[in-house]
Amino acid sequence: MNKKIGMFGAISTGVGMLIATSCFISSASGASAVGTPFVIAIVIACIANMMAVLSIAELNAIMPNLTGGIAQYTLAGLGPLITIITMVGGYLISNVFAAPAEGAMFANIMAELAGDSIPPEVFSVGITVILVVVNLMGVNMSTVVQEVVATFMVISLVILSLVGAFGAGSGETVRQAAVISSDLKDILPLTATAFWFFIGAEFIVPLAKDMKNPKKNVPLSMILSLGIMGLIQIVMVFGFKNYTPWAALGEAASPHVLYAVAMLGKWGRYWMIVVAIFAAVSTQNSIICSVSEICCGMAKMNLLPGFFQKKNAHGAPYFVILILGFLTCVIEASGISTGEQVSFLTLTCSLFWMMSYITSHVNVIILRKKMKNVPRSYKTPFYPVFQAVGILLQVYMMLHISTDSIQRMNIYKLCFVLFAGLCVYSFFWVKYRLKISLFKGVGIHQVMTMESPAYHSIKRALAREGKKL
Amino acid sequence: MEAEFSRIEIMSSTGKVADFIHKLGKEETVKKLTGLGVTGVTIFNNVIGCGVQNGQAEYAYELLPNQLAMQLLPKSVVTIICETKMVDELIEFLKVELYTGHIGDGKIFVSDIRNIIRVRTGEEGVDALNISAND
Repeated sequence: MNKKIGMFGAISTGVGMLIATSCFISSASGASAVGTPFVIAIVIACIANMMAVLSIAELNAIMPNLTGGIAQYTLAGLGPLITIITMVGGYLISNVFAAPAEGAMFANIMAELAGDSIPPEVFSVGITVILVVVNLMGVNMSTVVQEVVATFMVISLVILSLVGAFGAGSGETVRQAAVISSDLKDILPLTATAFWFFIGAEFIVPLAKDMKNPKKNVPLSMILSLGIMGLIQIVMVFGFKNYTPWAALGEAASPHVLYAVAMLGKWGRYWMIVVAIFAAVSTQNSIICSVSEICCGMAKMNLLPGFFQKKNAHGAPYFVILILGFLTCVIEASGISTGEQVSFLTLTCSLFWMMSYITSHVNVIILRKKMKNVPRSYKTPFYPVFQAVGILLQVYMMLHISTDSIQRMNIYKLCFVLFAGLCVYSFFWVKYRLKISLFKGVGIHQVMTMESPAYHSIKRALAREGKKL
Repeated sequence: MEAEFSRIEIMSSTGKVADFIHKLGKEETVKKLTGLGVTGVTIFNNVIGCGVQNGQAEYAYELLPNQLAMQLLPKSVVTIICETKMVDELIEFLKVELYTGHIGDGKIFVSDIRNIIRVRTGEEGVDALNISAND
């Protein structure tokens, strides 16, 4: 095999996965609440997610080269019930919220450009429909295109944040206090807001098959991607301080445009429009690709109904793509536009994602006990410190998912309803379809066997013949 | 009394051993093995065999264990002789290198060696394992 992806390629992919324009809503919301001390929350969230990806790297070392990723790790560690709940919740449902958040950011910036003549929803729904059609036609944006887009966005953010932080823009700098609140009671709850910057680094794991020296490069590239993203966001907070009044930043529906225009005038706006288009296309396309891949992997393992892996003549898993596209369009068409609404979507998505990270930590702990002799090319250092601290940090962020108590309760209510639905589905699916123990971890060899399509077809054939397995 | 030397034999699928051979072509692997006291490797190719799964595919064995006929598959055997004190560390290295988690990763056998004699120089023991003092 020609392994081509080196450390640079892996990091650019990782950072590309992390960057989305909806991150600006999170950074604006956090920075406008406490000022520059928001960087403390950014650092804590970054560390929490570094711990999570280290656990994921260890799980990948136990079960390398699998398509479903965390689904398979959880199946081996915690059994099928938790696997379906965390995977469908953590990746399918959460991305159903992440995609329209990005679409809304794109719609806002386009609506500003087009004026009131076209409703913003037209832009967000329009771009989603185009991407759904493109994906249904089996046209995959090549990794080269994705890398170019990701590199452009990273460079843009680095330049915009550095210019802002050093006050080197053409616009007038704002004289305002750097610190709004230095009270840790105000700062620490914002770690949940900062969490949004750092989700998705684990999507480097599926690249391991094509990476040079994956044993070393997978964990290192995930850590470096998170570190780079953290640095960019920290510098950006200082840029905000120099060019955007804190109050205006918190209220803006497109804080990145506000910042870019204040710093670079009309050229800043044009630059941000290009960034927004690239970001919307790249992020929504990545979501459609990765979620359809995960759902296919789960259907292959019989954790989701078989139609999730049905493919059309172009080889595209049309059912997942259509479902995802439909749900994204419905949320986008509901008229999401304000920063608060986008923030609601990203925080709801974050809550599910936090659950899946906790699951990864628990998986490591269980597999260290259950399979202590299995060779691991990578082991998280200082076990079980990172796992314990990681779980505590994720739980803390879940409990402080929003600083606004009404929004927090609404997020909990929505998550509770979705979670309850997932529990019911998972229970019946595992009990009556899979007919296996709900909470018993499946052996690693069996998880790997389940990768083979022949496994399920033979199993069904044997079941039809009434043979006991 | 523990023997001074040990034989490590890896029996695995030809494909996995081919990957291992590929790694032997890399400087970092050679450095690591040399550091672990490996001064030579012998590989037996073109042999056939099977393990406890009777040579069946993973899914077939999982669903119908012991119900399928034995199938002999292409295998390879890697033999390494080293000092016993290095065995544990070397095995840890080999386990990680060979591991994929799939059936067919192979087995590692460790046995004692009573003595080693280099025919060309007549050196014995550790001297026969390392570069000859006569060269």
